[in-house]
Parts: sequence; structure tokens; C-alpha cells
Amino acid sequence: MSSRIAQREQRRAEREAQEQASLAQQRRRRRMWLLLGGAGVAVAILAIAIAVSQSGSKKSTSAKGPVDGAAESNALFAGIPQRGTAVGDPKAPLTLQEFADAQCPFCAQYATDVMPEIVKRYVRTGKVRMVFQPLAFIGEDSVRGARAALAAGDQGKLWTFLDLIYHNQGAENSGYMSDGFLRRIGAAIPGLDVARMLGARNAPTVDQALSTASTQASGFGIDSTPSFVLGPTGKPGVELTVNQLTVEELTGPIDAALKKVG
Amino acid sequence: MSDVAEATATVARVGAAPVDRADARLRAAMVALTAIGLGIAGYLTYIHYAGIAPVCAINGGCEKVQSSRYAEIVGVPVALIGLLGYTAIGATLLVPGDRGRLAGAFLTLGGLAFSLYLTYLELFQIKAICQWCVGSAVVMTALTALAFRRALRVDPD
Repeated sequence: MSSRIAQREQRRAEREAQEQASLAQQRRRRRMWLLLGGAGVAVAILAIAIAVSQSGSKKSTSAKGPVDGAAESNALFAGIPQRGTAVGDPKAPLTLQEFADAQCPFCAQYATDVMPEIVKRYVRTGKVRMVFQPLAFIGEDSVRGARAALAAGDQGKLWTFLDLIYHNQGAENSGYMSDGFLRRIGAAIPGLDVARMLGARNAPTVDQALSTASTQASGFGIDSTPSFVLGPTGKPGVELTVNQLTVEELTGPIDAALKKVG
Repeated sequence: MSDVAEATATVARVGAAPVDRADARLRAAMVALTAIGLGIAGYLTYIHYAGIAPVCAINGGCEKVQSSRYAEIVGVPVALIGLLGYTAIGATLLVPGDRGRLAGAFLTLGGLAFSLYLTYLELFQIKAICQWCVGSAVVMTALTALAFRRALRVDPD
């Protein structure tokens, strides 16, 4: 009698335990699906983000139509003598060397935010001449940009060309510095023979300029771009401390140096 | 680790114990990892704002990555997003019960997806590797694994 009750009890307990276990399993399964769903959503968003970043970099390479900043760049340097890597009066009392990489976003920031003011105040007025020292460390596109700019320098258009590259900078190392891109940039500069520029990219003078710049950079202990070296024309200069890329950071030392050279 | 496994087995046999030691261990591991993540993201945010100059470093993948155009998303530095993310994950660890575990799982999942996206950018767009960013991605991966383990192990109720 008692054993039958006990048996019944035991069976009920087993049944309950089973029900509970299956309920727990159900819940666990539901939880698994919820988390898997979350993972699926995360993967989808990730795929979209990557696709967007890729299409973004492609767009900038295949853009057609007018070149951004063409009017500004051409106007900025109009009438100022350019020769090789230099812009400005060759007899200007001061020389400002800029070590820069065509792909470096901060070099582009300098070119758009600070340099126009330097050109207007000092270069156009014959007080300062600027010299470009091409560094190309970010990647293959840096080298292609530097070579094309140097080749444009043969025709006295380096600074305009470089400025336009900055205005149209693409995603780093995306291969955007293609011949097509360089041709578009070049075509926006009146008086530049684009075919001749493209053909001159591997000239010995270009190789020379690249190796000189990197030797000079290590001489000054320059480890970042943009970096600036200011000094009397024809004499060694000193590296400027540039922390925020403001106009004042350059005009301060330039004004001080101008006072010194009289 | 065997302790954790043992405790897990015990809990599985007995059912949800009032004090879930295995869960406490997983949580403790997540707290430690979150602290590391906060350290990395905090350091990178500091570097970003202390404005070690707006420059492109010639050597050093980290500075190259941090000074690339991808270092900010609509003006918000990626490092700061990381700092906020780790803070949020840390906050879920303070929320008791299943709600906290579930929130932790979803947040770490989001963090992992973001880390993967950034690693993709480093490898294929910037082509430079920042060891701090890799460290953060590893921490986030481990956090996700632990958070999922926590969320799946305990019966939701």
C-alpha cells in the first residue's frame, strides 16, 4: 500500500522533473535563437559597413566632372613663380620647407586651412619661398602622388598640382592615385602638358628629389608629416613646432625670422 | 578553468543555486577584461585629445591608424566610442540577474562587430596595424565569448 503511494509519488516527481527540464530546454533554445538573431543582425550591419566603406573609396576615384578646388588652387598660385619644388621669389629672404605626403590627411588639412594664408601674406609678397620635400611613407599611392607632383614641377606646376591632389584626396592606399585620377587633376591646371607630366614621373630628377627629401628628413629627425623647416634662403633652417596646425603656429616663427633677417 | 567547469556541472545538476558561483566567476572575468578594455580605450582617447599633434607618423602603425581619416566617425573619435562601449558593458555587469546578462551579450556583440569593422579598416584600407587596437579587439572577442556563455548557461526566467 505504502509502496504503491511511494511509487506514484516517485512517478509524479519524475514527470514534473521531466516537464521542468523540457521547459528549461525550451527556454534555453529560445535564448539561443535570440542571441543567434542578434549575431545575425551584427554580421549584416558589419557587411553593410564594409560595403559602404568600399563604395565610398571607389566613388572618389571614378568621380567625373569638374575637379574640386580647381578654381581656388589655380587662383592661389596665379602669377607666383614656380620652379621645380619651389614656389615664390627665388630671392625671398626666407625659405619654408614642407615635408609632406600626398596621402596624409593632415597635409591636406594644412593645404586647405593654413597654407592659403601663408601664400597671401608671405609668398605673394616675396618674403618667403616655399619648397616641397616629398615624403612617401603611407603607401604606394603616396609614391605615385609624389612622383606626379614632382613631374608637374618640371613645368612649374608642382604646387598647384599638389594642392589639387589634397583637395581630391581619396581613401588611404585605396589605389585612387591612378593615371586616370592624375590625368583629371592635371587637366584642371591650365598650361600643364598632362602627357608630358605623366611621362616624366620616372625621370632621374624625380628619383633624385625623392631621395634628397628623405635624406633631409632624417637629417632633421623628422618623423611625421606635415613638418616644416624655416630658415634664411640658402642656409640651413630649423624645424618648427607645429601642434595644432593653426595659421599662428607658422606666422609666429615666420614674423620672428623676418625681423631677424631685416 | 576546471573549477568553472566543475561549478557549472554542479549548478546544472542542482538547478539554479541561490548563489551562482560559476556565474560569479564568469562575471569576475568579464569585469577584469572590461577594466583592460577601458584602459586601452582610455589611453587611445587621451592620445587623441592630448593631440599628439595632427600629423601622420612616419613609423608606428598606431599613430598612422589614429591619424588616418578613419580615426573619427562623424567627428567622434573611434577611441571615445570604444571608451563609451566598455563603460556600457561594465554597467551591464552591475545589473543583477538575467537582464544584465542579456544586455551584456548584446552589447559585447555590438562591440565585437565594431572591432571587426575597425580591424578590416586597418588591414585593407589604412594598411597599418595598431597593436593597441588589436589588443582591444582581442579583449572584446573574449568578452563576447564570456557574455554569451553567461547568457546561455543560466536559465532565463
